[in-house]
Amino acid sequence: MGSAPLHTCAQPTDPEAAARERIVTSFQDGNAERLLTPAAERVEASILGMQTYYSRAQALFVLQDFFKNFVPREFAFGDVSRSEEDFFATGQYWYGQAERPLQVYVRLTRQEEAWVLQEIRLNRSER
Amino acid sequence: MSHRIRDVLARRAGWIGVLLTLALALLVTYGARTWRLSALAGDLEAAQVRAVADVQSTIQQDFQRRVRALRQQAQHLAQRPAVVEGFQAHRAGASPEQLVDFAVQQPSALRAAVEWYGLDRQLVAWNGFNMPLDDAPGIDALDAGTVRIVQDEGIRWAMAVWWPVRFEGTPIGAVRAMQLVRFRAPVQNQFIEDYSLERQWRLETGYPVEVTWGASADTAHGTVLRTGHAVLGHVDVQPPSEAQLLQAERQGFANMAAVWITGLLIWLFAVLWAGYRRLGATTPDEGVSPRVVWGFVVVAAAWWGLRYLLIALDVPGRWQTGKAPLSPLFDPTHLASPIGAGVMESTGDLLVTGCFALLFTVGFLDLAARFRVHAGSLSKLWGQVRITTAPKPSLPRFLSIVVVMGVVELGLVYMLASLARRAVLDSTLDFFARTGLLPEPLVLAVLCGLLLITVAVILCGAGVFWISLYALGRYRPSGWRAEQLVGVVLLALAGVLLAAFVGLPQMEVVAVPVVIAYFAAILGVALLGMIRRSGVVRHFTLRSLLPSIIVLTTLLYPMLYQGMNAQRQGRMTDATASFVEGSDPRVIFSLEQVLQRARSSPTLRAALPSGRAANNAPVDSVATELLQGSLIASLSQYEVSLSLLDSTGAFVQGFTTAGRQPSLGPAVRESAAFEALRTRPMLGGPAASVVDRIADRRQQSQFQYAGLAAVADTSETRLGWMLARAEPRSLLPGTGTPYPRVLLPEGLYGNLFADLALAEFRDGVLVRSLGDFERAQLAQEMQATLQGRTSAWRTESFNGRRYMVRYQRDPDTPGTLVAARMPAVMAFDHLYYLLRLAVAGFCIGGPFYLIGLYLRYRQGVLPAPRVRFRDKMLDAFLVVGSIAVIAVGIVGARVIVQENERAVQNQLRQNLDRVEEALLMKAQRGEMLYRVAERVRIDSLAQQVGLDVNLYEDGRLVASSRPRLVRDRLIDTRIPAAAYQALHMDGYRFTTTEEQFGAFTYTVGFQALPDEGGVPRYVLAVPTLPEQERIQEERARTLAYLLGALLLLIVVIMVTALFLSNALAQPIARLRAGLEAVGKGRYAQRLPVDTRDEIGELVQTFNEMREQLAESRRRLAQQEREMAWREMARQVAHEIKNPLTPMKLSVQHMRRAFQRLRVPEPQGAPGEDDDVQRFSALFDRITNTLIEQINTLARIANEFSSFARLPERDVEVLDLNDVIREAAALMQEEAEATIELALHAAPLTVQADREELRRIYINLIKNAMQAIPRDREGHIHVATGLDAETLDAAERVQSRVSDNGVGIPPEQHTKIFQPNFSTKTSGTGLGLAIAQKTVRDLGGEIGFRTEPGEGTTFWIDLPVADA
Repeated sequence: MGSAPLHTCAQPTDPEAAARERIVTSFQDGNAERLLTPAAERVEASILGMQTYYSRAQALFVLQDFFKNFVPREFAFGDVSRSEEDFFATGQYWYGQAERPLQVYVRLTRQEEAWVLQEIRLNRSER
Repeated sequence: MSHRIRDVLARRAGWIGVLLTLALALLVTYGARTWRLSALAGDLEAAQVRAVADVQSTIQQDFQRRVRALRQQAQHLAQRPAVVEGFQAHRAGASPEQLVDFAVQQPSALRAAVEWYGLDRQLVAWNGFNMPLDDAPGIDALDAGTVRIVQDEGIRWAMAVWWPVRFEGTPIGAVRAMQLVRFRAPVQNQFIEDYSLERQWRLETGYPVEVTWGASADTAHGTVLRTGHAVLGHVDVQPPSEAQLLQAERQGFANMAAVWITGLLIWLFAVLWAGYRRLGATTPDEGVSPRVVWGFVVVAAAWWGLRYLLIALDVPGRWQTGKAPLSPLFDPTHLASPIGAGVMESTGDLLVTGCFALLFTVGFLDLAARFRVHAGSLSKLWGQVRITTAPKPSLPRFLSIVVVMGVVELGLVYMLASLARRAVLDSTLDFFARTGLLPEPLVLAVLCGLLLITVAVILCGAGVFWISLYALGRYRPSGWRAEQLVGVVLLALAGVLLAAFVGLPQMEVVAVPVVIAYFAAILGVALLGMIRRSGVVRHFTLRSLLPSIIVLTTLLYPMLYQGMNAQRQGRMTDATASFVEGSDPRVIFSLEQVLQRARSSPTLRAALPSGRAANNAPVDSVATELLQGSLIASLSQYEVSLSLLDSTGAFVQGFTTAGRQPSLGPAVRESAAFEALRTRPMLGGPAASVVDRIADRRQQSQFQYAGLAAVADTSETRLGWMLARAEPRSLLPGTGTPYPRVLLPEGLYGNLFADLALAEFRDGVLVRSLGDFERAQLAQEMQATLQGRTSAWRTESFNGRRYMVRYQRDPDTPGTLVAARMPAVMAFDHLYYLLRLAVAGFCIGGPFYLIGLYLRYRQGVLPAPRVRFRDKMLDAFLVVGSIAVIAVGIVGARVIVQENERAVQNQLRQNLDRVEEALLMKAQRGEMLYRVAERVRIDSLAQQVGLDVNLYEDGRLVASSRPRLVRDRLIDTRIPAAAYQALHMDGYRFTTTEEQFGAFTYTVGFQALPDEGGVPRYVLAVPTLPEQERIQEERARTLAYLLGALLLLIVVIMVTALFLSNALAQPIARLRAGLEAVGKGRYAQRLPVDTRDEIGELVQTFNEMREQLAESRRRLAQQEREMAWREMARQVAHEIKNPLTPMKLSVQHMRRAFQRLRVPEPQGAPGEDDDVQRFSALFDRITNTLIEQINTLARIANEFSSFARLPERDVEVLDLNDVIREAAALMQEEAEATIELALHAAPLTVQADREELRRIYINLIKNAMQAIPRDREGHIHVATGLDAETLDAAERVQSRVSDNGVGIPPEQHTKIFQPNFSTKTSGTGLGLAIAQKTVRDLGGEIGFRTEPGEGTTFWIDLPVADA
């Protein structure tokens, strides 16, 4: 299930590329702050089934806590899609010694030339 | 030097001991860590194996424990006599009533169920959820304690234990006890969430644990969960990596090291603090010592440094992870804010910061108290302020101090406001929830933390005020009056406020009135501290704490509410933004993904067009897994499905996240989607796909997202179509299908759903709505307002209710406006939230009260030697008031809940009657309702009556208008046991039960449809699910209003108690003051009688007593004066009389001697005889005069003696008339006036000394005579008689001596009876004094009436003596 992972290594030359780079490196390094810079005032986050809206500030702590408990091992980009106002990215996130990765979905929306993190979902892969 | 060192060591042995212990512990920890890590690094593989083995062992132990518990339960239930008898009766053909009764009586446990089966494995009785039968052997071959894992359609898994019921060794039935081990919830929110043992084991062990239930292939890292030979599941534990192992060890040692480091930091601070205290002890209590100030600065920096070091160390959060009891306090998903560089990183951190702030304040106040101006009262304080002269007057410095004080105070308030605001905005806690009196534990913790900081802010502010006042006193400009300076201070503070609010946009977090209220509170506390000298501990009483809590909560609430309102507005903004979005881009993206993956799946491609895989591969699982793994499945508010269509577009097979879609008739919605999409231009040719939002042709508000992909083979021959659909479960963005809040995903709009209404207007006309917006057209004024704006907030009123409304223009669609509306917070809501905040205040006040009790006991003032009456009254009122409030609250809440339940039951009854009426309308002539129910479609019936309807037959669910809920196992496929008992066993027609979705409770009404024999053939069930939120909201609101009113009542009771206790205590206080005055000899003060009750009577009695005391005192004084006179008189008489006798004798002797020496008849010259004659006459005259004067002196001395001597009376019964006659007779000779006697005819017997009595009347008659002027014909009238008022008793004898003299002038009235008072030139002035004394001694009274110029009457009353 899932397409072949895409690993982006090129230097970002445009906002979209920068957004992709940001997502990849954030997950690879477990850097919540980078991932949330910038982010919407309220970020919808669904982490392992618990979905809610967090303020930007709180989302930072929640994601930091997530990366502390699920130490990053590898991240693989999946599908990317964009519309005029939205940028979607999926991926797979391997943590610790887990065999199965978490499914990652990130949505960014455009606000004045910047891609702002709007939504993030981290779900377990179904067996 | 060594002596000194030894001295220091001896004195500080304790400190040094602690330091060494902590340092040693830290060293040992680090040493152990190093050793352990190096040992681990050399043996990592074994450590991994051990780690996995430990986890597996833990899991096994827990699993076996659960199995044992379940076995015990099953055994216990199987061996109960009632069960055995019930089965026997059932075997004998009786109804299973006994078993059903027994089953219903069993307590319901969470995620547990019990079933009783007959020998033929037919279900007889049950309690709890329904699960399919497992593969356990038949009852007759069943071993006791057989364990199985049962799966229910991939949604639920349960562990089941069988235990046969035996009678005399023969099995007659069996019990199956079950416990859920996994449940996949269709949605995650506060009521419903996934459950799995797996997750619990993950939390407990901290390892990624995966459990596969049921017998399956073992895995490389698996451990088998088994009982006996039965394999129940496999547990896979991912062995930790080397890095993880090392990290885990490091973490463990780091946690331990954190303990010692924390101890060391605290020790260090304690040393600094002790040094500071010593510094303070060596300087005077009052007055400013720079050393002390700088010492405090160092200590304060250390204190807050300690706080931030603890934050950096993540203490205490690092010790509360996983399953630790306080871990939710430190979970950032509840609250986490970066404000203050980490002081509020979690709820627990907020609490710790609050404690730090409070303790800091205690120290700060201790310093500020040195600057404090003391005065006994406000007026004295003002007096001090007026007269104080500054040593260094300076207006610029004065103003600077005021500005700095204003900035600091404003800064404190701003800090608190920011904290309160972020505590709400950076949290997912529901501060608006109406869940009863007590807030949720985490909300309570947040409120407690904020209240602690509020206390600290106010007390710190008071301390700043004391210091500022001291400094202002030093630099007070000279020549300015105190009133002018106060005006300048107020102006300067106003200037600070203005500058801050105008110049700093950040100040929007707090309103100006709130700032002013805080300033007033700070001023009040500061003044209180200046005029009261009593210790702080004396304020930790009920009387002080209760009003303080009310004031604190009133101050904090506006700040908190600003944050709550901002949060609410944020959510409404999100709701309108989402409602504006015609298409949810996430869904479109996700459907594209699903189609892409489905189309590239060989299994699914091969299933077209027949729906079966050519190689028998399970199409279901592939399709299901694809959907489950898609993004859209995680969106929760959408139902996603994948359909396979043949080349003509006919529906072949459908799949959802739960598996193959059951055939429920024509695939209407699939067909509609296909028809809508197939005509869309597909980019890229026949193998491409299109995804779009499709509105229902008849109901625009209903829509779905659908994607259609053509599937072709290599030769581009179309094999068929794949259709992916996403239907909104929730109301937004707008399907219009009522969906209960309990099934909405968490956080999105779930918390608002019950109140939220959304609407879309085009050109002012409503085209789409969610909830009841109650407006078909937009007001013109609103349209005009939004012409130049993107959004606007308004408050609107409708039907007596106020609403908060947000209007937002859709920039992409001209003329389109979206609105979100929610009920505004009303006054009672505010009271309710205030009360919940007050509960948090009580949680803080409680420990302070207990601390106060303890400290007052230590200080020896508890029990108090003296308690003011006012305080006792106040305490009594507060206790009575609190009891009343609690009683009203409890009774009121119960009444509300019971009435609510009754209303729900009535509503359910009506609903079921409606359903029956609908069936009746469909019934043919004479057709029983149950037959109608057999043939009618349940969904159309539900649509007709507008209710959810379920239909049961013989206890099994056979039809439901919410098949999705049944499929998701949110509605059980079996009727609840209690309902079955009531309807099938007990013969009732109607009953209700409480059911649950997770933590959400709702009521279901059941009504039986009996057959011709009266036996229930079918049972209709109507849940309150869609209305339950409204019911709960109404109940919660009513309870909230009740509690809000109770808070108001508490405040009213407190205020009333204060007034009443003052009013009651004041008269008693005045009485006390009056008694004190009397005790000090001040008798003039008369107390006013203000009340008409016993206290008024007490005051009246006091006044009378005071007058009597004054009279007694006056008489006592008079008696003392008389005694003094008598003593003096005695002395004088004695001294005078002594020389008088020899004087008289000497003169007499001299006369005799002269007479003996008298010259015979004269013979000589005539001149010499004349001289002798003259001398002789002169000698005779002079000696006579001397003798007379001596006699007079003797008489005077005798009078004095008479007055002075204790009367030796010869009391006898005598006739007063006789005595008066004697006296009159004696005086008649001397009298120049006529003495008339008018004596009573009968004898008037009195007891007296005759001589004494006679002297009295002689004195009176003589006075009367002397009062008559010479130019007047004198008349003296003496009369006697009996007291006219007591004629029959004849107790008093009255006598009067009247004259027509000049009368007694008024200024002499009070002196008449005083000794030595006389208006005559001669006389002792003792006559009337003696008369008064004698008459009183005889038990009588003497007085007079006089008319100046007319005459005087002296009267004497004497008691009648028995003859």
